[in-house]
Amino acid sequence: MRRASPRRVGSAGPGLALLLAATACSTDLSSPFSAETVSYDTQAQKFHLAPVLVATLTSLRHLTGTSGQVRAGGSVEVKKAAVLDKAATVESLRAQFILEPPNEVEIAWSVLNDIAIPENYTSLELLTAYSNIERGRASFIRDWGLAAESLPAAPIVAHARIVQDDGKNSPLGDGELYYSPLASFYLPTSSAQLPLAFNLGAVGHALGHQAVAQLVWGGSPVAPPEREAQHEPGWNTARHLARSMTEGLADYLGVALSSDPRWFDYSVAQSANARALDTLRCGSREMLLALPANEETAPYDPFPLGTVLAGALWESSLSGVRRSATGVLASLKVLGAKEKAANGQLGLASVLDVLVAGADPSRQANLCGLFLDRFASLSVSGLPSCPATLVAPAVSCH
Amino acid sequence: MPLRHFAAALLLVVVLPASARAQAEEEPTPFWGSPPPPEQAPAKRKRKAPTQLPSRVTKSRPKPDPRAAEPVAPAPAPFINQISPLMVPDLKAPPPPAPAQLPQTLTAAPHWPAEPETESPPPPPGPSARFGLDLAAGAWGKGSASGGPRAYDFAYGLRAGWALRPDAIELDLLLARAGGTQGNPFANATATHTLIGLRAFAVLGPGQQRLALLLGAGVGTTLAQTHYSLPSSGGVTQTLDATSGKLVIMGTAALRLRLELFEARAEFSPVLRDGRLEFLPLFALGLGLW
Repeated sequence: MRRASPRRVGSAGPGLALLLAATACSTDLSSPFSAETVSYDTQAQKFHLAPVLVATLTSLRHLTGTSGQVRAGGSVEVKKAAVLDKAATVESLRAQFILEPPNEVEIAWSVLNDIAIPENYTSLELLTAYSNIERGRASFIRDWGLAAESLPAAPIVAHARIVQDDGKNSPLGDGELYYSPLASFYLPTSSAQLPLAFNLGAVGHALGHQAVAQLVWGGSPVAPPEREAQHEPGWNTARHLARSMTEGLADYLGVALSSDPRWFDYSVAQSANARALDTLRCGSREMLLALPANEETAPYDPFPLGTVLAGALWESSLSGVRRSATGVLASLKVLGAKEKAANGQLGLASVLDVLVAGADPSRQANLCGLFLDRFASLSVSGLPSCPATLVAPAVSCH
Repeated sequence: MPLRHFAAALLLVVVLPASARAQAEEEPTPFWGSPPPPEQAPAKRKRKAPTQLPSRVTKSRPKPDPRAAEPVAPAPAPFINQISPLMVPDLKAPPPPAPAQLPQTLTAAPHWPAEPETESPPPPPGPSARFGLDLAAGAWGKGSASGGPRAYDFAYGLRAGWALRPDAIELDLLLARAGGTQGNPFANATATHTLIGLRAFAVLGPGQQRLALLLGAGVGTTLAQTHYSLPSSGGVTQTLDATSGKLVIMGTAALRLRLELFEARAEFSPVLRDGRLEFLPLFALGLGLW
């Protein structure tokens, strides 16, 4: 016994140290696992805390996975002139604008009943952001047929200081999470409403922006018409149309992802009524007149025209979101090709025609009927890709 | 002439001894003189060789009574004549060394002055265990998940200390709690952490001092309690509570001030929890039995 005791002590010492080190030092978790996040219950139409399956994380602690890496902090100062420079690329703008890179995040969580539960609000927010982006990407790629390389994992940056030339205002608009000049998701620091990262609709909207930037604009920091002459009516129209088309497609994809035509209510309440898709949206003569106007005299609001497009697409989706969304995403690459062929000046009728051509054949007649009705006031009277027989919308604008 | 011789002899026999006795009372006894009789019990005389004469004579010290808590007061200094056996000339022994070689003090002072105690008495044995109980308040700096600066929440707690070896080693049990709420009215979470830690301290410097520096380390566990609140659009607030525990390792540097029964401590503890370094500065006030 006397000889055994020291041996026991000698072997227990390192064992105890290892145990303490293992428990006090960092732990990590990799997918698949269930985690408690804020998610949207499409049936009950409300947000709730519920466990979701996280499938693509290689490190829960640092939120790194195939859907991107969540980082936080840092400082970004955007210069508008540099963005509009024709030679600028996403990489050159990142090098120029990012003054202080973001930090690696450190999620705190506990595992209870095989469910990872974030230990504090920030961990919950960041994990929910990753989970929603993962869920959105899965829908875009797996369910709606988008090629994975068309939607690369983009940096996800939370709580960064991002300002324009004036040093105050963010270059991201209300409800926006994706900033195409830097090809990154930026999660705002604070919000008086439901944080955008919790809102699956807002995340779908952001992924829509990313898909358009990648497939239509070919990965350019901005839409090519934005870099053209600022006071020329033709380029003004192309520029404004590009903005409205982008916002309309993004709004539709956000609604399609969340199955909630009013996702705006929770996070973008100030413009929710103007963008909700459960309301009849019709084009107007004012929208047509606003297209060629100069920005200095009348700042262009892309949402009215964009909402008409999104509303028509959503109406055609009521018989099945998957087919419609697949058709929309399939059209993006064709839109990019058409935009190049038109030397950057893509007309509204061309955009609508490509969307009809890319739609599932079972939806083309319905979509054509909707487009011709909703955009009649904008001089859209016929689309080459429409079938001979159209399906008239249930509720007409006229 | 014979009468004159007889008178002189009588003078020598009667007057001179009396005169010598009177002089002996006024002057110190020379080392060759015979010692006066002791006042009480005379010491047993032993003959020793003069060559063994110590260069400095020390007086005997009373033995402390181990049962007594207070040190025994030293006995009054004895007179030099108590050690006079050393000075008795031995006619049979070899002649003593010359007086000039003797220590000056021995020739100058016939009585040894009472010397003060040069060694302090041994410290009184204190109680084997000393306890203290403190109330603590401070902050708990937790790292931000987003990599930002630490967020400090108000922390409060209780500390029970036990001096294992009062001057050297102390143990304590620390209970600390801190919490904070983050989020917005649409989604928020209150995270509360409770630390239960056992620490051992080394007291640096003299432990009996009022002010002491302590360095320590310990292990413990933290209970993380999170309360989520998510008000929905329907007006019904969904809540979720989760509690979990994790082991921690901590180190502590503490400055301690003791005044009678009161103790004040200012301490700083880096806490390693799940690979994260958190800081726990605390100020404690308490009472103790020390």
